[in-house]
Amino acid sequence: MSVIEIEGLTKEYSRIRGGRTVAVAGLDLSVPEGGVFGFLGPNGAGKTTTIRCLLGLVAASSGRLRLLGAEVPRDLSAVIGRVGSIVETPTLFPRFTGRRNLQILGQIHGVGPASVSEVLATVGLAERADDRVRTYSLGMKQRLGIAAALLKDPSMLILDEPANGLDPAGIVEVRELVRRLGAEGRTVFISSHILSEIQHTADRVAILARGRLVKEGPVREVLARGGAEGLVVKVDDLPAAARALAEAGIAATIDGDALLIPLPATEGPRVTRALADRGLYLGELRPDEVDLETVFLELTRDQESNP
Amino acid sequence: MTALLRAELRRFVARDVVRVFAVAVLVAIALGGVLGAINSKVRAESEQYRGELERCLAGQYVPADELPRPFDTLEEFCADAVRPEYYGGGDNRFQLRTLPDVLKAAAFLVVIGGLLLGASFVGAEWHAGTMTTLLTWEPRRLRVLAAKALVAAVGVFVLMVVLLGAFALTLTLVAVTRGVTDGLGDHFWRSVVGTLLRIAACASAGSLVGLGIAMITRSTAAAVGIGFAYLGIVEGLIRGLRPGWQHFLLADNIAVVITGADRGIMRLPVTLTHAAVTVAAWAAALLLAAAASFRSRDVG
Repeated sequence: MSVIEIEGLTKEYSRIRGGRTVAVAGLDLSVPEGGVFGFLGPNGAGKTTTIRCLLGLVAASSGRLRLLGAEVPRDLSAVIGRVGSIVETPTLFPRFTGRRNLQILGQIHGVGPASVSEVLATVGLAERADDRVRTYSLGMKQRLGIAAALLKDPSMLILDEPANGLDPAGIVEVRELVRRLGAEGRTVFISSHILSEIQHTADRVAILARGRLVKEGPVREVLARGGAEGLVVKVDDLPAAARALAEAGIAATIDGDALLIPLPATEGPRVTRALADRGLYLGELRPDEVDLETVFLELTRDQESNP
Repeated sequence: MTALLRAELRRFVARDVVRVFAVAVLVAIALGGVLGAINSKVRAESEQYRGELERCLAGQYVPADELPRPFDTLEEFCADAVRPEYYGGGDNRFQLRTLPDVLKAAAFLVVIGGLLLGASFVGAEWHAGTMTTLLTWEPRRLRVLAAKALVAAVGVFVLMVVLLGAFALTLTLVAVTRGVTDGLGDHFWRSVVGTLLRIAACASAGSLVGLGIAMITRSTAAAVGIGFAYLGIVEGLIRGLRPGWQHFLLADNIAVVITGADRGIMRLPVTLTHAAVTVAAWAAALLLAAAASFRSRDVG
């Protein structure tokens, strides 16, 4: 079952001096239930606009959106109690304490003070809960926003850049929290520009550029750059190893201080045996995976050059 | 809706601006009461007063045969033209029977206070960006607006009743302890309560006007600026250029509601009901415009 279904979403804005800016151009996206779904894209790609459309804050110019099976915006109120969200920098009343902010929000859905204390502890704000929000650092405001998103005990979380402004320790905490929430069976739809975080937390990703979807799928598939797979081998004598592999019928090319072999990871034992038979021993053997950042830059660069 | 109303009410009550406003007004009332009590006394007639009265009675102000209306004798004219209080003397005690008039004199500030509180109730929300957060909890925008409007209207009404009540009580204490409580008439207290409720109702309507404009402009400052510019300039121009439209002006109808009757405010007198309905229509029209704007425009 898909918890988010987006069909042909287009959002255009009128410019003051005439003309229109297309923020999202015919986006189709389906997010399955459970786990962590990464939503990536460079600045201005349309991520936040898509999230705002999903939450009914912005009206779509055309297209259809469904959230937890409810048509957005028409039936959004029926499911909003099961959706926790952060849109960009969380905005709460600066003159109220963190606790009072959450109590006021919680009251709308009948969430009691005990739950408020619980989520404040979850995000590590218990000690500062009774201070005014205006005295909070950006990272603390971000934590409070996450606490607000968790307050409804939602089955789905939509988090727009939740690690914004957090220090490294905070980023790790958010990563672990997101993983834990995904593992609990909730769906976490998370947009972030910290690609390494998404790579380590998300099960699936979608990459957006110029308002269009350029890649979507499980993280491992996306990292495999369209199905291309390979092995990286490090040995002391690279030319001898290349010759030995060629004799065993395995193509290999020297790339820097390693050999690149266009075989899947399941062929690792065959490669190991071919080298060992000729007295060459492995320093390292690993799948040739690129990181998400590389894939992201390649995909979005392609999109920029072919608008 | 009840939960949303409770949440909005809690926010209204917890707002610094509401608390600061209430405390500032209470302090001003206390100070005013003390000053009023100090000045509420009978002073001896001064030499200057007696000298001026003698000059007046000698016909140096106006000859006895050229008295203006409605005076028949020089004594009557001089008693009115030369009063002891003009020269630092006479009976300066606070007269309780003037309490309704004192409340009416303060009404303008009360209504402006209501407008400010209403405008800032939603203006602050747009300024802080918390409307986005709120709509991710309650996406039905008309409900959100209705809850805010109801809380602002009721909250301002109750607040103003309490503050005006404190003001009236303070002045009553001044009159009882150091002033005059004679000549109140049979319906005096009913008149006081009626005046107080009408002023609070106008402040409540003012809060809806402020809230409506702030919802459209998404800014407290813009709402207050537009409100003052309209009431001060536009209605002044209309009053001068299109006297026939005066019956529909907000400020004039508020004045009629506050005074309880049209005592020369309108060129063609209107009834209290007409004035009340017109003020309510203004508030309703601005709320409808705010609803249309809030419903159709993107947030964020």
